[in-house]
Amino acid sequence: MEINSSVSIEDSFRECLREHEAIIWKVVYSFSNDSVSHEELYQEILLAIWRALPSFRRDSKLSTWMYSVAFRTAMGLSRKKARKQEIEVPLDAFGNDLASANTAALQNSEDLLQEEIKSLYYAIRQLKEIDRSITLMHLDGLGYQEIGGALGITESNVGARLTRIRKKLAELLKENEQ
Amino acid sequence: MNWDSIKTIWNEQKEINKDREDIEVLVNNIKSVNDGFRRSLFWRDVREVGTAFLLVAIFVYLGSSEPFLQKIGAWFNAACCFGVGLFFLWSRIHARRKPRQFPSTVKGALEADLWDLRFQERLLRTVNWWYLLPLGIGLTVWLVTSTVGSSGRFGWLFLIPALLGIAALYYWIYRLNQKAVETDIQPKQNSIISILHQWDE
Repeated sequence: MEINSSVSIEDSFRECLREHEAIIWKVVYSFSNDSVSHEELYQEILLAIWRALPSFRRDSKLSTWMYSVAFRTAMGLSRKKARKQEIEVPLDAFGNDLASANTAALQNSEDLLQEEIKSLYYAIRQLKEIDRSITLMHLDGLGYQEIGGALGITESNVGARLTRIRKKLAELLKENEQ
Repeated sequence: MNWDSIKTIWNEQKEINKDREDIEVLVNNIKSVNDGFRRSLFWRDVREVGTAFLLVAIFVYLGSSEPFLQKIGAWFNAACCFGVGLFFLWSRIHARRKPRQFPSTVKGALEADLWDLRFQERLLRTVNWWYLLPLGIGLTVWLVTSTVGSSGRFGWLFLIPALLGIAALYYWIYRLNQKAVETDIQPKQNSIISILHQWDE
């Protein structure tokens, strides 16, 4: 999607939400650790996107641009909460849709998946801010060039960091399992 | 757990709130929060610039109606308030004219945040020179000239506590600004610097 100058901010914002709202939640879960912070960060990111939309230059994909805005906002808000203790994410923080499975078997698999996702986000939150950002974009299938362009680092730097991140993330997941 | 397993878990997570039906409510809420924020900024500007120019009007009036000696203090004060008001007005117009561009990279955005914080720190650190001192000198000159010119020797009984009160008020404002630097701006700066260091690792 392109932000066309003839399209109002409201319309562009609606499109951001319809197409890429999941990006916002992924950043929220990776940068904040309790439901109150989730809500606060989610709203801050929405506001930041609203305010930044008029200056979106269309030289990158909307999803990459939304990641940039969300990361900057999350890093800004996490500065305020830097000293706060890590709190486990409550089960219902992942949205009602994950809790709405209507058969026992499906419920079990959903719960299992939810536990795994929770562990993954918990591990991601233990990485440094820049590594969290790289991890999220890489897991969502963005290329090295896009990741580097969004963050302001070279492609080779992205590659080198990803090698370290994969190892670190695997270690963290193993530690958290124990 | 290897990377492929991590990717599988990631891809299997449901897209949260996809196809939500309350988008219009959300858009209206965000629009209203943003409008509220803009309104509060506007009225803050009106208060600051308005107060400065109201003081200009008061001191111009006093300067035109008082005897020569008091005129000096009143006109000096009017000029100081005018300068401060003009500075407020210029900075607000400048900020509105220059559209806020979102830097193209997260690193650029953090550097821009750091620049803004350093600018704020400089302003607050030097509040003595561009705000307190001009107004303080103007007010002192006006008080001294008014008292000496009109109240005779009993005027000192009023002047000394008034000057001490002004000094205490200005010191309190100065300390408030320095505290804001120490408790708010500097920790934010340090945090951005430490995040930016991650780019060099």
